[in-house]
Amino acid sequence: MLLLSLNNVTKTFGGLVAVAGFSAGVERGQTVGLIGPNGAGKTTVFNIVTGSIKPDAGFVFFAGHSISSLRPSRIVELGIARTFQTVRLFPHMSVLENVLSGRHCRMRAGIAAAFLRLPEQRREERAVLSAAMEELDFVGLAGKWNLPAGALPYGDQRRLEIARALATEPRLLILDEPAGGMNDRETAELTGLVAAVKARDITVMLIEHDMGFVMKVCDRVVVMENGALIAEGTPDEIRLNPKVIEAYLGPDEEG
Amino acid sequence: MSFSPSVPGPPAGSPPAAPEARLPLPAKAAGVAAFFLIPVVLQKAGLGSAPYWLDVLNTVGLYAILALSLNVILGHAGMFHMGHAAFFAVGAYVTAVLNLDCGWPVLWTLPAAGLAAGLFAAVVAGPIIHLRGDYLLIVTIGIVEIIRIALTNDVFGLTGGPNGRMGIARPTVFGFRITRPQHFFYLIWFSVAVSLVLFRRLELSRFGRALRFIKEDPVAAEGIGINTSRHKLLAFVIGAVWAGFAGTIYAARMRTISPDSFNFSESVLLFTIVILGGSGSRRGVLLGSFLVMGLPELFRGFQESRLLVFGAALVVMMIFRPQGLLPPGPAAYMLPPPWDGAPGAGGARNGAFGGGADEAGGAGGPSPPAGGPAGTGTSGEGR
Repeated sequence: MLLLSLNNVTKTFGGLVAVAGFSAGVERGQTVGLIGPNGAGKTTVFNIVTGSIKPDAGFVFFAGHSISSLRPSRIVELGIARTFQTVRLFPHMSVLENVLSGRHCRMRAGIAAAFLRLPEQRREERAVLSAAMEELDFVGLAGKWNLPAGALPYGDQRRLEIARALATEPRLLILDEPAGGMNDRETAELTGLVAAVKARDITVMLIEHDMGFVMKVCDRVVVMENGALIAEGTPDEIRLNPKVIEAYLGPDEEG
Repeated sequence: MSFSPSVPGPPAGSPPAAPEARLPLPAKAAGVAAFFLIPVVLQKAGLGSAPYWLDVLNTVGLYAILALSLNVILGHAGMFHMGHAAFFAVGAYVTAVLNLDCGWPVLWTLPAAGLAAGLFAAVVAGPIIHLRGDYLLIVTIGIVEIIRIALTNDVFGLTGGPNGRMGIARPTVFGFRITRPQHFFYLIWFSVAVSLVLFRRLELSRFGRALRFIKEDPVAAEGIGINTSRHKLLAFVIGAVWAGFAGTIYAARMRTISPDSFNFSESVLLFTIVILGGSGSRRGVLLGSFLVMGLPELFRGFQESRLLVFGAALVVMMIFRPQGLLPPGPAAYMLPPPWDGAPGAGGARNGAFGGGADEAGGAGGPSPPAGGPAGTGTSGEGR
């Protein structure tokens, strides 16, 4: 069964058609790469799935819910978490607090519980600190829990973003150019991290320009061009697909 | 002060925030005790001006409660709300009407005043909660003007028009009638202490954190699962409920309330207290209340020009310390086992958060942890 499916999703900005009748599906447990030349509409698709943009037409279904009209926070509650193309942490808050932001939607304590400091609320606060530290440990940042997020090196910031997203207990994790701006060593670490995420039975969907990375971590690859799907298949199929080669290298004129 | 829609913490490269000196518990307790002895000392000193200075302190305390409530909206959630006097007014008038027309004892009207102010906030803030920065500011100014004009025009025949309502009864606590400035001193400053404790708890909770995430980056907060509209609205309602409570105390103290007491400049004063003291910091807001409400009294020697001197002091402040006098320090967490020995636990903070002395207490116990000392000794917060 499909965990996520997009049916004929269309989005235009002014006169520009960013996504044109795009349909695709992601099966549970897969790691899916979304690739395509710049301006193909990949990030727009991600923004539609995560609810920060509403599609003009078409539907998005996630685990049996129609999510295209929901607000982003509700979609996170349903189990889709994301990282941003440009790092979007809370830079003046500590590494730990950044991860706590992801736990928010799995917590219950309200204002009254906080005012009265009910035992339940204190228990929850303790549990949430442990859970957050576990996520930090998972991405290898436990030792830096008390630093302001903005003080971390770039690679650490990207990993912190992933820890924050994982803290929401997602079923689907969406990574927007996770290896962007990373050096080879950091990219290699990221490959291991994505594999570890996958081992936790979390479905992953990612946009990435680093083809070596995509071919290594993804089970399936979806190729977009001009807002539409042009190819879909395993990394090996995509590598040899003439349409994909044309989209990336231009039409075969001079041979 | 900056009116850009996002003013999170200090910009990168700015001097680090001043360390919040964390006093040991006994020193705090002693400070609080000494403060609460002020009326006795002033009385014993036999100064003719004692009631006057107590009155000044009472005004400071009342504005501290109001500014602490505004701090939730402006300091934590980062919403530029310059109409707080509107909620204050709703609370005060509800108390006046319930006392004068329905015969309720004054302090019994407290929950009703808070509830009414909170409901009013929910209704007016609902449609404007998505507005950002200066746009929100302008609309909130509109709210306070609408309230003032409605009160002046004797809305529903309850508010008494421009003259307001007079003859509000004295409050009684367990049969004790509160009449004199020193009585009000205890009523007001006890309320300040309760507010400080409760708002501290709120800050260290899921809700308080959510507000800070929203202030720092609303898009990221929504994208990570925090319903930003809901939390911003709740912040408005909480702030308004508290301002409503303050309205009850104000009505009880003044016995006469009129629309003039709730005009735009009151809102500006409250806004100034929060920004000047340190947006988001309880002790900063408390200090701000002393400076903004108390300092002009000390400057009486300058007579006519005292507001000018005060204004100049404000300008100098905002140039040299735009983050406020006592900006909030980093939230401190004590990790539960097995993480309590995590590397970098104490030392990292000092270097990183540029405070230094702040949490220098050590790795073992940066002070207010989530599961830590439950509400003990918090009443001295901020002094």
